[in-house]
Amino acid sequence: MLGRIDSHVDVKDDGIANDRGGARRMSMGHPPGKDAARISRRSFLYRVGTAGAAFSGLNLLSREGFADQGLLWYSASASSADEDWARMFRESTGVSVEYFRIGGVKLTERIEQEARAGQVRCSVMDISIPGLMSTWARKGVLLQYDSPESAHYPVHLRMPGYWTPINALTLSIAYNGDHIKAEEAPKTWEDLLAPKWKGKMTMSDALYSGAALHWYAAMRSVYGKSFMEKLAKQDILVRNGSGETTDTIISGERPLAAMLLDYYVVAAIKKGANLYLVQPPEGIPSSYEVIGIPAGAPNPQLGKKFVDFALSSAAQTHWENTQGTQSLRQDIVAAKPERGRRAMKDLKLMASSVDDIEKFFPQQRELLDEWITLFK
Amino acid sequence: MSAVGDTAGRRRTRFDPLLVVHIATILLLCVLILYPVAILLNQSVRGDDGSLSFGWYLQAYTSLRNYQAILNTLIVAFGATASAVAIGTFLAWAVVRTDMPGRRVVELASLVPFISTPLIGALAWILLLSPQTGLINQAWRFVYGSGSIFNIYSIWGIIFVEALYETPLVFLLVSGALRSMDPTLEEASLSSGAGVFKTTWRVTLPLVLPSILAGALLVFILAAEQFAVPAVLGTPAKIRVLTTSIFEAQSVYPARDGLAAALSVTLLAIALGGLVLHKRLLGARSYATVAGKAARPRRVNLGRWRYLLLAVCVLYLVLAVVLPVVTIFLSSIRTIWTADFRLEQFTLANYTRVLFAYPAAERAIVNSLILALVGATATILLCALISFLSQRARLPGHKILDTLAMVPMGFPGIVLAVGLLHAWITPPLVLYGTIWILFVAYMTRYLPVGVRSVSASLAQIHPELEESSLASGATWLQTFRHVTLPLLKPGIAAGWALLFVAFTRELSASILLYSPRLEVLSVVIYDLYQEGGFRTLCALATLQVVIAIAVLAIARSITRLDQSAEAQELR
Repeated sequence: MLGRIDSHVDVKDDGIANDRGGARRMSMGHPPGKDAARISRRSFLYRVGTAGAAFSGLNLLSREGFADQGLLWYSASASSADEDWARMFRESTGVSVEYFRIGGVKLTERIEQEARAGQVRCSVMDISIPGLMSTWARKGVLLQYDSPESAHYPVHLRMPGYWTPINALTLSIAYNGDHIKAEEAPKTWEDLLAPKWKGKMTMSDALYSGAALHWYAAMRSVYGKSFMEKLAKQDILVRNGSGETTDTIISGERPLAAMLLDYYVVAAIKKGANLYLVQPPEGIPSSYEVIGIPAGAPNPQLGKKFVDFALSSAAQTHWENTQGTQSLRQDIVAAKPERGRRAMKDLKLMASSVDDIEKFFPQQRELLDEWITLFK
Repeated sequence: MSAVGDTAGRRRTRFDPLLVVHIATILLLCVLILYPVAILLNQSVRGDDGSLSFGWYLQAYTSLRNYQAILNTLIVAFGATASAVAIGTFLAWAVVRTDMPGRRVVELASLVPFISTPLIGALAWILLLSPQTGLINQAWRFVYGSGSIFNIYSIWGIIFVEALYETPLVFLLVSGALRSMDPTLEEASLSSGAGVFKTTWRVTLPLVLPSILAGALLVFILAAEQFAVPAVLGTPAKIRVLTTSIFEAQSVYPARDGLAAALSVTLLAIALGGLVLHKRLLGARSYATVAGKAARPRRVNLGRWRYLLLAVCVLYLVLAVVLPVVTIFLSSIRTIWTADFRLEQFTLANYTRVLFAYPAAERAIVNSLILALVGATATILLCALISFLSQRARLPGHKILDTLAMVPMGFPGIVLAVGLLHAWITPPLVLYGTIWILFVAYMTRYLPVGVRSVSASLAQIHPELEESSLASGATWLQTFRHVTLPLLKPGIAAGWALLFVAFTRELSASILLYSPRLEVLSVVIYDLYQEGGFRTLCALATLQVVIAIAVLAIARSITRLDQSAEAQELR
């Protein structure tokens, strides 16, 4: 159908141009020698191409098995944090870990899709939606494993035998100190409604980040829907993940984050960004990044080993120091308060007990719809 | 050609292997193309409990957000089409019909889609025109104190970037038509006293109008299908289009499968509608001024204006290629993106990260190259078979074959992906989670590109060659293997290169179909963007550009790759 038009391009020549397509026009009067000279090169490449194709075809097939490929870890944590743990784990056990990192809300859909396809690909996973992990545990989708390390975590923040939090996902206000003075910065959640912040704020996408969705659920349950509606009128720039939101306040494109996972901010501060956190005295929402093993994992032994490692005091301390996370492990030195961030023990959490989170979970679809209508 | 058909008819026996191949090919195309559509249609009319329900369509057309997405899709498609047609026609006229200097340079416009992708273009324009941090906007503030010249996160930004990438299609079609037009018509107008511009307006333009319209319809389809540009530029500005809404409905937990399917069917209807119109238009047209003789069209003498015209044309090239590619490259060798280019900010760390420290990127490079190598090879062979069956063998039903092979042109990548996802996720045959689902998606999506490339070159091979092979007692399959295929090599090689490049950069189907460990290049670039890994993604994008240029340079040196319009659908 298009051929008829194409042929215009081929057939004519107006002197400016173009001997392109010359080789195609064999029947149109090109001297045959020209083509004959090209054939050897072409057939050479043809053979190389065939050999390459055959080789890689085999290669394709060999990529099917997952059990023999080391440990695959699905993660909704920051990719630099995953990179860190993968390296530490390899150094201490000699086992290489491949991590697949994506926002919690998308990661869970992917895991569900794989379940539908009858595929379990990863041997360990951490997600930011604990309510879903509990649901999976009850449905028998999780492998039962009680890591000896999990005893060091408060029992009300874990589901014994199934999942344990690898860090708290505390959500705070954050701002860029180059653009906003400390005395002008918002002090409470209500301060975000001040007209001066209109068009100045950013936040993460609840369609991407599980923690962002929990923030919405918790804030809404405490401040009511009308507060969220007023906030939505502040023209907030929604960024995908927490990494992108952090970049947005660092660049100053929007100097204030209405909500941000604070370990991303602390990690950026450690790298020299002039950022500050605000944790209002009335409390902040917090979700939990929880780790577990899927039933039918291709490599359950390695998965268990990795869970032990992730919950260990070495891994937890390392993340606190390099990634700015807040560990929930009770026997390690808590992360130092800095730049407006309180120590975990001084922090008042808002609508963020495991019970609260489980209560919000069945409403996830409605909450998402509402969030989308307001902010996206 | 009919003689060939007759020969085939006489020679056919009851178990003609050719007939078997013919039927098998048609069945294969049905599985590739019709099956996912059927699954999609079914999915769109099933409620959550599996009963028949039109609730998803109701939600698709009555919710304000979805309605807005449909409207935005049409606005973007019309906007991009109008701009691409205006710029493309102008460029074609300047190159073919004026004495503008530097016409050869401007002709490079046709290479734009080879060099970079709409995704790369959109990301580059963020670096240049993001309201606060974009370089051009920073320069603007430096001069004027505040504000910005243009906000790329807007519907105009989307239209701007899409138009840049779709202009070459119009340029190619219109310049082809302008070249082959009979110049005596214009001469008649001129000698009857009409001026140069009146002649251009009243004679030249109407003559190339069919080509312009054909280009416009293709651009319209491609703009409606575009995922990367609205995903990157529209999402922050809360501008939703159908492709991004489909992606959203399908990829977040809990997924709304039915809504995704209903929106997909809507987008499919828009794109297929465009395709049918396009076919009608070409079918009905009879502007038979295309003469076999190499007529030299008259060139308009522009005088002093020629340099202004050149400047305008070069501006297009700068905006479409030079600026984006240079920006992406500069960003890839720096630690941060600021307006002051200090020496200590330059680094190769982004490349070492991509090549050695970021496993997903390493895997993506390998996977994309494997898919491109194996996929392009398999696809082009299938395309050669289809061309041969539909143009030469002409068994009953060859028209179906021809039509089926062109349908994917109106099959948006993301819609195909939603269809494939549901088609191949449940037993008995689970392709989900394997590299084969990407393979099937790419093969289906780019079938028309390959078939057109092969058919164009098949049309130039005289059937006598095959007839003599048949007359000497060879079977059709032997003839295909030993006569047709070798003669087709140049067309096959050109098509292979196009497919290879297309496969290394496919995004809109891959984004729903890839799996962990089976990442591909564009997906990793897009994910890095979502994570805020802008420097790293620029290194990867630069590699993607380099791969494309290298493959095309090699292909051109051995086959003189034709820059025909099919090349324009690489996206």
